[in-house]
Amino acid sequence: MFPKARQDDLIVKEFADETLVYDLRRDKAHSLNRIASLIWRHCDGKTSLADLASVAQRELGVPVNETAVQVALEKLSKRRLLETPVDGPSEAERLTRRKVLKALAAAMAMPVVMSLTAPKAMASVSPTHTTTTARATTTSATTTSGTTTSGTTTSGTTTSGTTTSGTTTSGTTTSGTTTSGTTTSGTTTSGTTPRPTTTTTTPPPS
Amino acid sequence: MLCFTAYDLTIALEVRPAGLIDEARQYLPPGWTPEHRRAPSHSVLVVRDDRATGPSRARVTAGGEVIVETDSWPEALRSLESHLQIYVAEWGRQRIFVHAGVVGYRGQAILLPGRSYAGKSTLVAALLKAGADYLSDEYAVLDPTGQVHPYPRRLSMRADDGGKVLRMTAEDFCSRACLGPLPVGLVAVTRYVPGRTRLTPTSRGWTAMALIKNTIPIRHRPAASLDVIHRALSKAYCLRGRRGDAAHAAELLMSVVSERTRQDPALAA
Repeated sequence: MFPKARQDDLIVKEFADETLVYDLRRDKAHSLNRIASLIWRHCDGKTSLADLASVAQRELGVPVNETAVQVALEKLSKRRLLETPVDGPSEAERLTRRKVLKALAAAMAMPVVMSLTAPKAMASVSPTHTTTTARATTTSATTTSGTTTSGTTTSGTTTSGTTTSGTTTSGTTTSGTTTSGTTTSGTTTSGTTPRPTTTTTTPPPS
Repeated sequence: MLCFTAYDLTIALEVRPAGLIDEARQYLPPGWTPEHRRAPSHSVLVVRDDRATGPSRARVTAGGEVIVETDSWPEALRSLESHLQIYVAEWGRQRIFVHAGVVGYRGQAILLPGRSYAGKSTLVAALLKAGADYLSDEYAVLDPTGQVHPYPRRLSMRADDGGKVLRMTAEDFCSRACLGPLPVGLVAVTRYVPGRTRLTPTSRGWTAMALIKNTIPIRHRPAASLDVIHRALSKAYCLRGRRGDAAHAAELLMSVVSERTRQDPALAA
């Protein structure tokens, strides 16, 4: 196997021992620790697993075997950071690998990739901030006893904003369109933050 | 109709009845200035319908969409404020807004990223009482070089019963507003857990992820956001963990900044 790192639609930032990768296609950020970063950067489609292990071992100064490389590749593949997907371990491999993984962890050579989905604007603001992103369009909302919230605020606690694989799961936003709202007491809230218009006209003096 | 500019965005605000405009002005984004030349890129309408019988009804509409409809005028004003805040934070072109409390100490900014109810304002207040200067309890406003600018809205402190929100100034805590900008000296990613404060040093990569999680325009300006976060963290010391009593945590954070400044006086810009 000669894995190749994906390069398109990624923003890459290097920190001291880590690499931050932002996936523009999925709006996900990944933090690769030193070994994962080293392996990813050397995935050029020409280097074998054994050679990747040698490179990592040389640069890190700790024993790195092919299993460590395989684990790193699986993690990178799962995050879509490789051109060609890498299969996960079989059940037998999983069972026999444990000892090796423990040794890697003890040697601080365990590849780690931490990921998060970039928040939509609404997910990062206070519960009273019930504004959805600019791309969202509210299409309907249910109202009971005078108050509706699309964006979903319940008793002062924002329950929306949890995004899974690009889909907001409560408050129901799919592909940028809010399709339903939830009801609390007293207030109807269904906001959008529209993208600024680019008009260049000058208003008459007020 | 009031046309104003905040963070390079021009917004038109109309309030009906017009006599309520002075009250609404208090809820505009910090640093707004009246605008007479540029066309607004966004418009907001606030209407209060005072009925002969029954409670009055208020509605806030932005760009044709209803933001809030409520029986409570103060709530309508808070929604107006929230809407304008998030609008400038998301679409302001020259700054990157990160949801965080920020204070200044020894020429450096201490950033406390986190969402609401994470206890940011409480920790900011404790830092102010301990001698830090105030920049923001809502957003770290980062310029392209990674320096933090003040977002000087009044602190929102929840009353002890958790209900009413009190608006405080830095002076209420015997502190003062920082005029900034400041380089980022310390980032502390904490969560409130009753008991002893336990913070440990963490990497800039991990901290960058915590900032991304709280960066408002990350989705539509990812490259600019990441550039700014990268620069902001270039000399920052980073801590993570749980914080208990705010006064104790504030003391700890300030002692870390003092110690780092003692070791490297160049950090105090």
